[in-house]
Amino acid sequence: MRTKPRPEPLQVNALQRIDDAIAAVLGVFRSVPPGGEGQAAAAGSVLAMERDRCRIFERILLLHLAVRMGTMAYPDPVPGSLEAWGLGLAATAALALGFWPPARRAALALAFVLLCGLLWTTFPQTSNHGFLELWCVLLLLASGVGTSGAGAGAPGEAEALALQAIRASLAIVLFYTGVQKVLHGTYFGGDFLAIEVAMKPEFAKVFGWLASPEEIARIEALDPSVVGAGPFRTDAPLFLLASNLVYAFELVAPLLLVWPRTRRWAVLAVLAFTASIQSGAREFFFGALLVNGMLLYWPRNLHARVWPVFALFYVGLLFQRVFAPDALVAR
Amino acid sequence: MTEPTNRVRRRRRRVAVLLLLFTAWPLVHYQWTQHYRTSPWKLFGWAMYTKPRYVPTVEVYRYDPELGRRRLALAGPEFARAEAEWRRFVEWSEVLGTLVVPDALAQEVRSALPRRSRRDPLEVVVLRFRVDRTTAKVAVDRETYFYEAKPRARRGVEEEQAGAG
Repeated sequence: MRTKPRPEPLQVNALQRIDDAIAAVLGVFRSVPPGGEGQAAAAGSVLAMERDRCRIFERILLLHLAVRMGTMAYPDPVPGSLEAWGLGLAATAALALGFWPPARRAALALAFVLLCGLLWTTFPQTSNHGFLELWCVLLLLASGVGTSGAGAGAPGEAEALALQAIRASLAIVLFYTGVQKVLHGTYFGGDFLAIEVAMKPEFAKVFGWLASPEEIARIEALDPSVVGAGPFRTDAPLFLLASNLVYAFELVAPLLLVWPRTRRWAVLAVLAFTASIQSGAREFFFGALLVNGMLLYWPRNLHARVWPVFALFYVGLLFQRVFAPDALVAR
Repeated sequence: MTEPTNRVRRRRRRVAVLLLLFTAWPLVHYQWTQHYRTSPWKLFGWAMYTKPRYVPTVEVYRYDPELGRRRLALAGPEFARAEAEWRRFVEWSEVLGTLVVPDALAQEVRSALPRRSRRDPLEVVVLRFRVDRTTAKVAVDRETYFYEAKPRARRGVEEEQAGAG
């Protein structure tokens, strides 16, 4: 006895093609077994690795949120500090829940609600990495991570889907940072880097060696707040090379991440590139988030080995904010 | 086990839709930075480090019938709400560009003025600094919002670009 109408063959074929296309695109971002594609690795062992890796990634992410939201409550009270304290405590509760398997999905849901609240209260000045945190939690939830019962699928399947989506997101972000630099056109003549050298002493320290001292002094003497000041441009060959390499790297790196043979090198290159930028920008929270995500591209489960480093880092950041808030500003 | 497989397929489609939106948005973001002068540093378009981060300068003027165009300092307890609205508008305008307008600011300023001056025309000028793409020199774009002294304030807008040639 037929209980629901059978879909038309054309409809089934179209849906099947869409599903196949989705699987093919997401498959590009699947975890690569150690040794590469050619090695016969049982699908079950890959899913098991993804399940374990995802669990650690989640807990590091929840720790990241707890510390970031907690440090907004320190060191000085600001208008709305009661909300800031509440946010920090709730994020810590989400972290604690995340260690209890039956409450894993609830922990993610709580983190999602807190991040939406943060987005609401900080908009339009919400940081891009704040959105990225929200996005990662959303992808974990949308992939079904933490679901139990018959609807969960094979063990590790939801985690594998979530990690594929997060890897894809990071590649998209990296690619677009390059695309945007090309579209805005401020890197071909070194314009943006020259302005940053003029505006920020820390950028001058990082990039100042790329041109002659006279040229750097000329740029530093320009006042970016005065109409007509400039030109914020240089013809110093190393400076121009570095400027154009920035977006070139950002355009090529995602392709190298996706290709299994170059994946490890691409991860190391992206991390080194990020470290060089962050040595000037000092966006520690963004840097930590990126490292946590980039390690997902590593063929082995590196999270299982490096999570203590993350834990030490975040605890260190918390201590710094409590006991030495003027030492550095973590963003 | 058809049901769980269908559920997994639905999850994949859901994730695919999310990724599609995630991929399309930065292109819309770029258009907004060009058309509405929104900030490349915010709104998740991944355009950080493409342009210097300038905060717009917002000035408020009153057209006194005898003294002419006078800049208002928005200082003093009577201007507390106007000053708060001025800060809010600067913060929003930095990120959302011409998508936000200073109507509320003009209203607060008008309410804070002495009764005899409340019908004077007001002008809000927004100065947006940028680095000219051709000359690589600092330029300023000026938006002028004019509020006539009528029961229903009408806003006229002028936009002017001061090139750095």
